[in-house]
Amino acid sequence: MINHANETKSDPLKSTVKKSFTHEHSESTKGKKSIESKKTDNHVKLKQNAEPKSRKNPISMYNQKVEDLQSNLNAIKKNSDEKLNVHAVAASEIGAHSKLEGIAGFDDEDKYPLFNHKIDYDYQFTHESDKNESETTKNVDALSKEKCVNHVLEKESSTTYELETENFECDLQWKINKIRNVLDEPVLDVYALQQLAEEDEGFVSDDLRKEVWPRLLLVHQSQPVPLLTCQQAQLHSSYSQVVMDVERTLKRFPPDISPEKRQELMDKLTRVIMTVLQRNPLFHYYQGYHDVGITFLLVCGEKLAILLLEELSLTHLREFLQPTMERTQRWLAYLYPMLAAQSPALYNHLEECGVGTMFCLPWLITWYAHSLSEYRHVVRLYDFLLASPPLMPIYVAGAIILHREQQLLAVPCDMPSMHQALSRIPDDMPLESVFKEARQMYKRLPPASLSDGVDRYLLRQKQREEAERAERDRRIAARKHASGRSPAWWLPSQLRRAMWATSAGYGRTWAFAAGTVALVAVALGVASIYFRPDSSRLIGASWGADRPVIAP
Amino acid sequence: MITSAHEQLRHDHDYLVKFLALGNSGVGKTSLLYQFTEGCFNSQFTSTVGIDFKEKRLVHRCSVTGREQGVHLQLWDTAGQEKFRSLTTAFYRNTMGFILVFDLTNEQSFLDIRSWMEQLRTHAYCESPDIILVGNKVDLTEQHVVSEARARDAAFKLGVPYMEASAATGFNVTACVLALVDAVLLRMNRVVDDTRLTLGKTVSPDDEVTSVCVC
Repeated sequence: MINHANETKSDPLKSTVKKSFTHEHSESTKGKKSIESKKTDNHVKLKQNAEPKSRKNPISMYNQKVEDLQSNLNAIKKNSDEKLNVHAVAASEIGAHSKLEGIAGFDDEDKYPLFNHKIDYDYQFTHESDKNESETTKNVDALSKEKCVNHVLEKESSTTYELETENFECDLQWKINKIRNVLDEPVLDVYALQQLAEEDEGFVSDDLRKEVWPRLLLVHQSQPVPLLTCQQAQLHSSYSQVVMDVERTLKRFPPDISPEKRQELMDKLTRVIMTVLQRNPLFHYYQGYHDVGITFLLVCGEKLAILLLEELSLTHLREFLQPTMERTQRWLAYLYPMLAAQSPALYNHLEECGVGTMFCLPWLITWYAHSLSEYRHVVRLYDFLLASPPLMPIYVAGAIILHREQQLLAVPCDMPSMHQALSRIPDDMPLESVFKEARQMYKRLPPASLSDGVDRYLLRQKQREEAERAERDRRIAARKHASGRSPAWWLPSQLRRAMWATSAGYGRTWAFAAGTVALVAVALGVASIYFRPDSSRLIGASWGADRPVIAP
Repeated sequence: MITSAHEQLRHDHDYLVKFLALGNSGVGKTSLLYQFTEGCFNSQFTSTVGIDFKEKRLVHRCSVTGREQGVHLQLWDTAGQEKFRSLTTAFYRNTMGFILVFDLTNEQSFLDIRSWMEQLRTHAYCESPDIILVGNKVDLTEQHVVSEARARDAAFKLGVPYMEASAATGFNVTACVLALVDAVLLRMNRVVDDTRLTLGKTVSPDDEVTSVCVC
């Protein structure tokens, strides 16, 4: 009846009405996680039949949904004081691999009246196929339910695009409220924040990011760090490099910023970076670190930027701050086994070109801040990466490359062309779907599973380099041998070198003039010896000693 | 008719020339290459992270033979920070000419030329690759700390030609790159000539392009 197997993430239901409120409290990766048992107890799911787009007559199904929702309303109202979730899980009837899971979350309606007139469902495909199992969580009034159903029905029709633009602002407000909700909880729910970071639009605005980012890195309660004075900063060995890089960050500032304001921000950025470096003597600054610093500075301000940068440097950026880039190279190498597993054709193509991993070095060590031209893309990426494990940037790189697979396969197999094609991230890259792909890839091919492939790749690369070096040494030795055999080769080659060095240094006219003068000088010298009367007489005299003298 | 045939011929005989810009951080490698390829100075430069790539096609007249040759120039731009050196040395091996840049207003960048030369000789395709030493920021006369005589002396000792240029004004930028193109093409032609002499047979244009990595 329903062809669920064909359902993919491109379903407009999913891409346009994405509102997921999971208050499922599992272990957070950061360890500082709040688990409110009360909430978990009251966590009820409502599972229902929902339908994918391809279904011919969805209306009856949604009527069923309304009824189910209404039947659950009484149960919900009993718990109206509680914070509750609604999980509208739509199970497919035949597709074992696809299930629509609609999750909607709401909070106190007095506080967020918006929920009364706007409810969306998030449809996700999971691997369950339970039917009509209804557990419930939330106070949903009849009006909002109907609105929801109407909304979904409209989405079913072909007017998705218009609706999307119409509802965009509303959706954003909805998301903002969701984030506020999590932030207002007495105990921080990092897991919920991570979920929100993955959803469309991330943390939406810089005002929210300013609050969320420190919480994600668990520095929101840290004491502010005393700032370094200018004199103290100047003593640091990396100071001049930092200043040099900070001065070249013009492109990263908003275009309408005044020069005074920009200068002020640049001074702050130097202070932020120098304070972090001073406090952590084991950090070795790298070019690109300032790109991370400036993102934090622009979003969160100086004080928070220091805390964020320091914390991130101890976790995600740690390997890049080592004295050498050896560990970074290893991280970059994760790309190849990943591609080999996902697209052997592309993997072979890239290997054949010998393009290596340098094209995505700035992606990794600056978290794409260096490579993306639009500020909003950068901060959106930071939302995602701050809530992800340290190796996620390389999975994002994999997802970006795989997204452009066909385009890259068409690039001729030539290292510079391929490097150029790879290193530019198109402005229209659909970041949200890239994140989803990266996240899925991380689950499918966790770093541990790629580790052997990385070792093999690095070994191959090392062997190739050694072979090249041996070939070079062999060539140089052969050349020396050849030149040893024919000393006549040496003089012209040295003359040529001298000529080129002179001509490039002083200009060709001068070289020509100098050459002419030298030639004339030599000719004059030869002529003067040859025609000198004394010498001819001397030669004549010496010869004449043995010869009979002919009398005049 | 003749012209188009000539153009065609020239196109077929394009030489592929790979250059790499080296030098300390902030000496103006990126600006120099940008000035050469785009013909202007962009004040909104960012630091190079890792390695960047630019290319340009031009027709070059050889200073010695007077022969006109189509040149496809590939310019690699490296990050100056010491930390990135181990990552960029892999790119030295198939580079034909090196643009070694220092900043006339920065003493340290001049002193580090020696260590860059050592790097070069260790990792380049041969022990004596074609190099040009460029003193950048010649327009900032008042801030100069390295005199021309001193730079010339150093270049002479290292056995490389020296030129002063300004990426900001564009002064001498093209001349620097073309001088290096000239040297590389001379070497390439010489190699081809040598090969012809030693092998006693003609060499096809394809070979000319590929057989350059011989010193």
